[in-house]
Amino acid sequence: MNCDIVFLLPLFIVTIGAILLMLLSAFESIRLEVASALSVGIFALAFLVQLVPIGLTDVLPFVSIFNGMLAVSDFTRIASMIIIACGLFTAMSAISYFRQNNFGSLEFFSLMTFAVSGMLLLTMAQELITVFIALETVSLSIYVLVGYNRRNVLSSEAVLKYLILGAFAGGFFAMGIALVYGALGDTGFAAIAASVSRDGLLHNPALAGGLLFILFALFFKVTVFPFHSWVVDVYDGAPIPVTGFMATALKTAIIAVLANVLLLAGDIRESWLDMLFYLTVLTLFAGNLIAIGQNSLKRMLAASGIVHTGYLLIALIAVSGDQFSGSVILYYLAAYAASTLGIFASLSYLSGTDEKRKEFNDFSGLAKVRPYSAAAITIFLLSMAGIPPTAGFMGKLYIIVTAYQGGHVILAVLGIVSSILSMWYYLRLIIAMYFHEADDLFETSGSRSAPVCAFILAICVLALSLYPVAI
Amino acid sequence: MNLLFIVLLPFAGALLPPLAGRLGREAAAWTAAIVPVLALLLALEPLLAAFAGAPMTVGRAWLPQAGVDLILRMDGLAGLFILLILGIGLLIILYANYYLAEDDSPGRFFALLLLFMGAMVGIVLSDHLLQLLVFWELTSLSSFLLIGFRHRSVEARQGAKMALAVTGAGGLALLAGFLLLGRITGSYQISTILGMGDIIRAHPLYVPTLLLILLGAFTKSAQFPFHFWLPQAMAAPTPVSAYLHSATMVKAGVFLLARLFPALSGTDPWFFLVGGTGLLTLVYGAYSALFKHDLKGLLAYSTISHLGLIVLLFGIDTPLAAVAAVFHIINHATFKASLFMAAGIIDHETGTRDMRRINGLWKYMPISGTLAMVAAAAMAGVPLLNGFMSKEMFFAETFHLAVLGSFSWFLPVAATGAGILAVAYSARFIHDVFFNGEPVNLPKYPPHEAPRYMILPVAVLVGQCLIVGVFPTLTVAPFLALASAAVLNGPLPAYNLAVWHGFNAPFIMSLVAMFGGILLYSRRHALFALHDRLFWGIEAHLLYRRVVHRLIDGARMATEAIDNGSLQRSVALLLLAAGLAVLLPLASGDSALAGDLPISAVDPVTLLGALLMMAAALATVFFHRQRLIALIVLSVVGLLAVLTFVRFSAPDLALTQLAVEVVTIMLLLLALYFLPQQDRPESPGWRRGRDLLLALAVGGGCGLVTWAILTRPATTIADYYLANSLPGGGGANVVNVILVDFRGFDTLGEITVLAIAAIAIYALLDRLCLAPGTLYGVRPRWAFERHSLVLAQITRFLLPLALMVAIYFFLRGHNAPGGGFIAGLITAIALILQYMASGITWTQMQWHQHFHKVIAWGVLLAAATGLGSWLFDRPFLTSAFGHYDLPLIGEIELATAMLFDLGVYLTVVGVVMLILATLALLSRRCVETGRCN
Repeated sequence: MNCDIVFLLPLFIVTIGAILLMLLSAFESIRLEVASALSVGIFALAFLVQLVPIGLTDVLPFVSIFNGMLAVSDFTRIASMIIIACGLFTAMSAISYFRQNNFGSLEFFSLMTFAVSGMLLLTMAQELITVFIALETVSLSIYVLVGYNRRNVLSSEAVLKYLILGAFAGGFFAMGIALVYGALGDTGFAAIAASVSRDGLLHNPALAGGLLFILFALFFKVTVFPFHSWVVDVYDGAPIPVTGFMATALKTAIIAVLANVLLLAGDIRESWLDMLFYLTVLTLFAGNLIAIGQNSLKRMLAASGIVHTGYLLIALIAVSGDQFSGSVILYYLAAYAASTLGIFASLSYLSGTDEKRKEFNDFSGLAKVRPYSAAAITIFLLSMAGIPPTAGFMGKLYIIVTAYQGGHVILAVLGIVSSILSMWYYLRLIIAMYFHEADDLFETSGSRSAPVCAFILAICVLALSLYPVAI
Repeated sequence: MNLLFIVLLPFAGALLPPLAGRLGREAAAWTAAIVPVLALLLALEPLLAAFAGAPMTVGRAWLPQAGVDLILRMDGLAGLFILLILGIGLLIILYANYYLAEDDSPGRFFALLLLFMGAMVGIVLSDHLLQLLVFWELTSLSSFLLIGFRHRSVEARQGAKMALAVTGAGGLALLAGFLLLGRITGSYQISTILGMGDIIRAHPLYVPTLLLILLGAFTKSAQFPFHFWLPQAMAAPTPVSAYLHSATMVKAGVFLLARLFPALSGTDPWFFLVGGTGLLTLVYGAYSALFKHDLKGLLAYSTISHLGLIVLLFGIDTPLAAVAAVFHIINHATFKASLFMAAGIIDHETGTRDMRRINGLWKYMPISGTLAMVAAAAMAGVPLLNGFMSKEMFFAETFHLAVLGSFSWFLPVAATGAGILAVAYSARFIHDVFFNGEPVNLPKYPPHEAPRYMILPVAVLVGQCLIVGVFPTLTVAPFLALASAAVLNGPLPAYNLAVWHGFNAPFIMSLVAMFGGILLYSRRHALFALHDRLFWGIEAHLLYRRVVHRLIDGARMATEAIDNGSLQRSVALLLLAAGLAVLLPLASGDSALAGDLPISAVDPVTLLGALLMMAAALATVFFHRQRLIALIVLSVVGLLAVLTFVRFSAPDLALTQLAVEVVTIMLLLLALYFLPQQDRPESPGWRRGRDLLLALAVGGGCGLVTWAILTRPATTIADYYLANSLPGGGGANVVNVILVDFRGFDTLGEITVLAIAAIAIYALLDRLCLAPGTLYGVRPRWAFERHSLVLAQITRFLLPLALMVAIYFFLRGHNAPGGGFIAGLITAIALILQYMASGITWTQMQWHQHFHKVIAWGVLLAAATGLGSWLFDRPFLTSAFGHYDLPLIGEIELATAMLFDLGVYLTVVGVVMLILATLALLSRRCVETGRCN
């Protein structure tokens, strides 16, 4: 029976939703709230559809579509759910954000929805050209979202840097595809995995070079050291909801691709192991170092995102390819996404007009004025720092235990050490919020949708930790 | 089930005090007090079960993939600790009710206290290592909040941070240790692990495991050299200190030692590490306590010292010593909690804790004074009090160490020395505070007796000290036996809890300690002077702070160095990585660079084309600051690429490339209008040299890799497509069939990307007004004539022709070079020409269409075509096709793929026009608003 459409339904819902939003943006009279509500509706629908694992049975955990161009499994299904949820919460925070920052337009929601559709495609893609197209869909939308505030010089600088570097990364990816195709005559992950596990990675210089190009382009997107240099400026310059969106949805999608590429066959991972190991170590420490030195909240979160990527790399190294369920990666991604989105939703609401509150000190004494917001932010920060009883802690624990059981003792230890280092910058905000006096009334004109987001996400962070079996 | 509720109750109960706090402090305190009372009642049943020798266990799966389960078990040790945690917790809550100041928020205080209580209960009840760790970190966190409760004070904040940093970091070391332990035993369940002591001790990983676990325990229990956080934590409100540093927080470390005693003890590393650390801490703490002028500082160091004593007892590693350790845990908890509370009363009533000012308080507060003195005597180890009994056991155990050989005299001597110091500081506590003349310059004068209910908790605890000291067998004996049996996980040694053991060596040591201590205290003035001369400025916490500051400065500097936000540097890094990516596999020597295939002959035309292309590319780089020239040379590169496609017989690609080339160059030319026409070079020479090298490396690497491809036999997928294109897709033009059928899904993605690009440009440029570019700050002169009449006429004539060509390409696309994409581009070029020749106003008058809609309908049409095939239960984008005879034109093929192509066509036209219109509007809007002139 042909049930491709069932598997791709969420993707089509989101894509067609994006096109409808684009049509909608041709009408000037429509209010932003309508577009936001529509996109929230689209995401909610797609999420619900994705929630039901139709067609995926125990017998058939992995279904390939279009001659193996796409594949659907429980891994892609849950990754898609995380991404869709990210889109949903971003749309909700964005409307709160645009109440206080006067540069929103209808296209924003269309572009964001397009980005989500590209990400959904990324999770399922089993073939380089499809990955490339999906990657372009995502990148292009995100370039624009980053630079959405045209009047802000920082924002413009950020988008310029991101665009130029991203163009290089995209170019590498295309070049990598060409080299891989030249070497193998095929661009499917399955063919690549078969070739590498048969002859080894270095057997053919073109294949090795091409694959490295592709990996580097993906590493660029998830800010692995030394491809991280754009992230702090770009996260800082982008509008807050966009930063949250990039940090969560984009990372989830790319990590899913990396998992698909690296873990497809047990042996292919072995060829990367050394390189991945060193990159992981460097990523963890570069991220921590950069984060410790920051005074701006967004910049700190950007740098801490590098550290989280490091943890995900540990997970990628540690999970065994033979019985790959990816639950360790997914759990961490979900935990991380919930906390990060939560904090950005709170910031969307609290940062005020023109993002005037962005330093650690700007949030001094928040607990006095807005105790509920401060409590929510605390939960998110604790989760990111990996302190119980939050989802972040369980995620880190899960990764460290997996790494350890996989025999990667050094990585497990480094993961722990990095967790200690990271406490410094997460707790700084908590200390500022609770232990300092307020000299600000934290007035905000944002709508209630962002606080609602934060509330839901805070519950998610705790619930994920108490009932992790759900993932 | 009971166990689960005991753990959950404090956590759930923590929600109540903040609510009750609105009704006042009393309400908050009473709701908080209900929690330990209820929990104690709940603990009765499991406690009886433990006495009966059948510990209660509850288990739940939590995160089974990571091996984390929720398993609670209450054996004797856990039961004892539960009694301490809940019992002393209850007293602390009653005490705090009177202690808290007006501006302390009672709701928050009691909520945090209950949170902490829950975490402690969780630790002692855990039967799973990782779960224990969760609660362990929770205690670090909640104690952080408790210590920093008075957040206005700098000391409180710093003390809280330091406590969290040290104990939190220790907790993570503990995690590593637990993981190792789990690896050795294959289980994380504590009750299982306890039975596997021999396997653990024989394992090669035993020493690292032990080290890591001890690191966790020692940081928590403030053992030297990790002790420094505890005195700093004295900035907490006194009830917090009384709770955390008597029965709970610091006891978590020794609890862990007790818990894992059967699994880890009994080796030389254990003896030297645990015993050595304990001894050092015992002596160091006792010594430092003597010289503290702050009442709580003295108690803090004495706590460190007593914890050292307990650790040392575990280190001595005999069953009797373990019993003594458990006994001292109980005793220390009772007398230290009462002492802290007494110190709080004194602070509360006098307004200071400086022992140089609070003198002679006994006549002002006789009841509190008497209680405090009894507790201090217990701390010193005076007979008939509980501290005496465990100290006697300790002294007795110091003699049983064969390991030390001829140095076996050392331990008794050191123990006696510590005993002397303990007596001395206890004497100081009693004498300085309650006697020693009159109070000096008190902030609150005269001091009064504390409220009755503040004294009550102290009295209860001091009463215990007395009763246990006088009637040990009637009171504490069963609990001690129960807990010790759990610690030893085996039979109990024979011991005698009698008050009087006869005139033996331990008693002599006690006597020496007693008189030596009093003597030492009487000589205190000389001693203080000596201490000040010898040990000024060595403060571990200052060292810690300096290290932390260094680290942060280092991090800032490193950030500056590796991440200064320079785009050039980022690009250079990226290229460097790329260069390595292609060159490393070549250098690794695993395979030869060149394959076996010979190089085919090169004809002069191709060679010329290649050289021309290289020259044009170089020229683009060279002229990149003169934008118009650069653009023209760039178009040469593009056109040569078109010729390359032609040379290698790819007419479809050539056509597409040609059309794309024209459109992009045109749009770029339009964009050029807004850019400065030239700018000056800014990079220094060395940087350009570096960039050149990088570019050469990457380019050369790519060239070499391409060489590697071309000299190897290629497997190609062309045959498959060639064979299946006509029968499967109904088209002879394989490229087009691939686009609209085989890989139609990708094409759909591709036109979506186009659509995104268009609205992206629209979203970014909409309502924006840009001034035309300048040349060295001067606006250049553009053409005199705005719209050339000749050009306008020709283009109007060209439009229908171009449209005809577009339709032609569109229709034949399925079987010959052409297709929706090319047709769209050709249409777009024709339309662009109209704009350029006749001006935007005229063109938009002729055709006012919203391009958003065109794009959206295009993508929708393509998607709908694709989805349509599913309605017929065929794979996505399978085309149906048929051949029809039309009059005049001849046979024509209609396929559903053509609808898809139509979608592509609409999108392409819409995108190009939207970009064009947006760009054009930029300058017109400028003129209209006049803002930018």
